[in-house]
Amino acid sequence: MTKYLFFGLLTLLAVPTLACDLCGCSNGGSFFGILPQGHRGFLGIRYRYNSYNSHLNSLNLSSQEQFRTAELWGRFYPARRVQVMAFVPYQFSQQTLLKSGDVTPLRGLSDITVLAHYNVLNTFMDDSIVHAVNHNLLIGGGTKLPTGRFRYDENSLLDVANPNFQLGTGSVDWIANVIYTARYKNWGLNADLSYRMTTTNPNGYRFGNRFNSSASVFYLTSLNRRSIMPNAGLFVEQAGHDVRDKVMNKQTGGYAAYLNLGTEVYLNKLSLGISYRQPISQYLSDGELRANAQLTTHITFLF
Amino acid sequence: MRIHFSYQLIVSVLIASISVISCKKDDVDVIDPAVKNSVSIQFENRVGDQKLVLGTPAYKNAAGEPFALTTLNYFISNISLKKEDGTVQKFPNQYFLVRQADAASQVITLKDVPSGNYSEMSFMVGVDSAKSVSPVSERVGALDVTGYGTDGMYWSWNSGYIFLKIEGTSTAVPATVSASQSFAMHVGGYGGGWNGSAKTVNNLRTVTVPMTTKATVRGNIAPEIHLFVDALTIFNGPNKISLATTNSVHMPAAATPIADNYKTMFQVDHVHNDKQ
Repeated sequence: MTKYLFFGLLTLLAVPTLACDLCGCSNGGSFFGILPQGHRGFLGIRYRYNSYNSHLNSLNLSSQEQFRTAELWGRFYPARRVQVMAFVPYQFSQQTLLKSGDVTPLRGLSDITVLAHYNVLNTFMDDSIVHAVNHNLLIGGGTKLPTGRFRYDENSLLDVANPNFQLGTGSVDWIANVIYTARYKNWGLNADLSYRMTTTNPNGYRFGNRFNSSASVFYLTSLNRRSIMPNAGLFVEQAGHDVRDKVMNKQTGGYAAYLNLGTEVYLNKLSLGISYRQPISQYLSDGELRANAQLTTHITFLF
Repeated sequence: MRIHFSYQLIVSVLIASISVISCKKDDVDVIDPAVKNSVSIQFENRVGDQKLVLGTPAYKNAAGEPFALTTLNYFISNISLKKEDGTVQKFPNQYFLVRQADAASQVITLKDVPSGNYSEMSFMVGVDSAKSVSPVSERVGALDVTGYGTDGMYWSWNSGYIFLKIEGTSTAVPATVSASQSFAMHVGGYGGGWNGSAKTVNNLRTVTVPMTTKATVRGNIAPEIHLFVDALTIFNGPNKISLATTNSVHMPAAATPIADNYKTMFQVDHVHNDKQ
């Protein structure tokens, strides 16, 4: 049974440590969501809110991390069939210790991600035949740069000495990404797979590799040049254990699955969107971390 | 660990985790005391709500006196774990010296703990009188009096161990008392006499702390009990200690209020029961 073998391997690889480094992960992979209409470049601002409860069983360390990210995002078409996307996030986050009520803010530039996709298949564009179902497949990859500060000083009394409560990961990571969209009349299906391969940062810390996947259904209804596109889907994120100085910390990584509900509105050159994610199943940081509901909104200009 | 790029795996992991969870509910959790595992206990020294960083003058006691700590050492012995059914598992003849300057000393491991659900732990701060008067050849490891270097934990003049030692600096210490404004409190005294002299007071203290999450020892679970040790309690416990007046304690009789304070400084913050 492969699934049990997988768990067996997991157990073998895990070196127990007493480090209690868990806390809400600010370093989740960039998720693209359902992007504004293809073949048009865009530039916009996206705002993401998510929160986690950490150290669930601790009398003194129980905390809540609230991550607020304002992100500049854009898509450009430098060549036919090639799209380039960039994400420049800025964080306004904070950690609240539940026992004392002490708040530690975390503000600044986070990690920039740049991705390029090749449009492998596009039945809408590729030929003049009218298809009942149109398929669009983008395959690409990119990098996440260490532009956000990663400062992890165990001996500082001011910092939250936690690798997960940082502006960035401190590492150059590599991303592979596949986006698939199928359209049938006004209905559509969108699938997005993203794998992030991490590297060890200069502080000797390496975040677990991360695999995000999502599948959603959307319905597009239009009036003149205005459209509204409600959508619903499932989003699953999974991460391996982090490694610090070559020692694996079992109390990191895990999975969370969310139900996603949202809508996009297109007003000529303007696109607005809102998306809400409710966790439906999760096991993060060995059960010591709980992801709460998330909200994403954006305002984007198409050109 | 790497995650392979496959949906199959995600699905199988999801199914596996669901089946693991459901198995847990269905299976009868058989506790066989003959099956043993280890229990580790971590002593995380803190000062109030802050981390303890040696040499940092970031702390203040109830008297409003700012201070820094340079040394915090204490002996832990006579540990016992109490099961939820009330039976007590003892770990005699195991002595540990926890030193803030040595991270490895802050995690102690009890071996061969019978399977069971433990809801309370108890230990002595210090070295019991029987061990204190035992032959030198029996006092090894943490009790080796020649092994402390300059960080002595033994009074040769009193044939006794220093149970707890806290040292530091404070601007509240009069410069006329100590030019460097440093303080030192050494607590000992097992209640015996030395060379026929009068018996000292007994400053041995036993600490009993509950565990809100039970430590569930199984063949595949070696629990980790994470203790928070609040050094501020040494000054701010039932007896309020002012560094302006109490800054040099080296005799058992004077140390009793401090021992009564540190008896209350331990708390089980959380317990990890990770499957191995």
